[in-house]
Amino acid sequence: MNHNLAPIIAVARHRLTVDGQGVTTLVAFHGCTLCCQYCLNSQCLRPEGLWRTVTPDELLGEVMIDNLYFLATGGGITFGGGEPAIRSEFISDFCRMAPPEWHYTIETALNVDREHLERLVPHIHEYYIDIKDMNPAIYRRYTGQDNRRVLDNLQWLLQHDGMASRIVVRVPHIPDFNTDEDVQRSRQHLESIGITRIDEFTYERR
Amino acid sequence: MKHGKRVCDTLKAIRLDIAHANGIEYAPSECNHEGDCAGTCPACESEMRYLEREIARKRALGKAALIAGVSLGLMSFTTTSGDSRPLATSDRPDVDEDSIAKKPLIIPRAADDQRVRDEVFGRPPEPMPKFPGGYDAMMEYIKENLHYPAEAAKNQIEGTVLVGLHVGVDGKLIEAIITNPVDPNLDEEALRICKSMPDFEPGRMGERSVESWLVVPVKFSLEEED
Repeated sequence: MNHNLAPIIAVARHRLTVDGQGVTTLVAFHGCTLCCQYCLNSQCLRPEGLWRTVTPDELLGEVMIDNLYFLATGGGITFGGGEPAIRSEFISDFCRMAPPEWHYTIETALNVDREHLERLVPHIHEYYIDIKDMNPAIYRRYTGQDNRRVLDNLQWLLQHDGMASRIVVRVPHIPDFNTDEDVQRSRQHLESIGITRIDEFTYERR
Repeated sequence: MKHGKRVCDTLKAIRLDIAHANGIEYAPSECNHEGDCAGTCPACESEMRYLEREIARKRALGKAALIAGVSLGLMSFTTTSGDSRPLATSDRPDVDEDSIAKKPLIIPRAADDQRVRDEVFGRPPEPMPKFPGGYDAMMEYIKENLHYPAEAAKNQIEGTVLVGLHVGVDGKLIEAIITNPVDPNLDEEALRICKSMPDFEPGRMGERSVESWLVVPVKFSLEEED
């Protein structure tokens, strides 16, 4: 994979507090390691969902237009998708070029090889992690994948000083796949490993 | 108040904060646009470019510019979903076109407005095509028929290849392509196994069969091979 080029499905400007602090621009990448039943951005899996490919400096040139808003509000760039973590080489190149004052947030399902996180940790300020469900059977039914890597990656992240305050774990109610009791069990499991910021919400059937 | 108007007002307030913090003379132009908007427009962009030029001028004169955090207290805005279409330039006849930066990327917010996403990306048919017997049967088919490529096994290569299947109204496979490649040998085997699958139940829109896509995860795990 050429890490100097990344496929993106959207770049959305002027997002206010939905993707992290301040004014943010969301950069949504094509491609994902999961195949979720109610995927919110299923175009990230479809070949025709690919909008275009960019290099890190091309992307920087485009998002720089909102530099003053980012600086004034403590905002910056949110990487989403798809699964942005699989574009770790691109993201780390981008963050090295971009103003260090910008705030970088990633929205991830964390089901990626460890090497991606190792590249991202020096650059990312805040993590929004959607864990689907902590029950492996429910996770597999919903995503088609195993969740062992998610749990391993989450515990690895928490080993870093101060990381708990930078992680928000999103725990969804998934119609037809999990129950309120399942969600509470997921919460308890997360709290037991040191997660302090949990966002509970409900998926829409698609 | 519509979403776009709220975004516009917030961005305008941020520009005012920047101007006041740096002693820049700035009076936002009156917006006469009726109805909702994208939250920005050529006139708003032009005003921000003006502030950038003034700040650059200050710095060139050896003066410090105060920008970081000047609007931290402003961000109590709560978003709602809404149309993010760009405002037509003709709505702002007094705008200096030469001073406008290159056309901004204004993309409908893919994450949270179903109507806008459907218009931009196409509404997926519901349901998607189905493998005979359902999802579990498809995973069982893959497990039973997968041949782990020898070269990949020798080099300890694992991963999940995502294969996009384009299925016709008759349930027959029109095309299979790799949407998330992992390794050439694994990719080839993933394609082979998907192309060998029996006909699908086609996707449907109401009572009508439609062409549609399904993404199939083909997992290669040496642990499961043992």
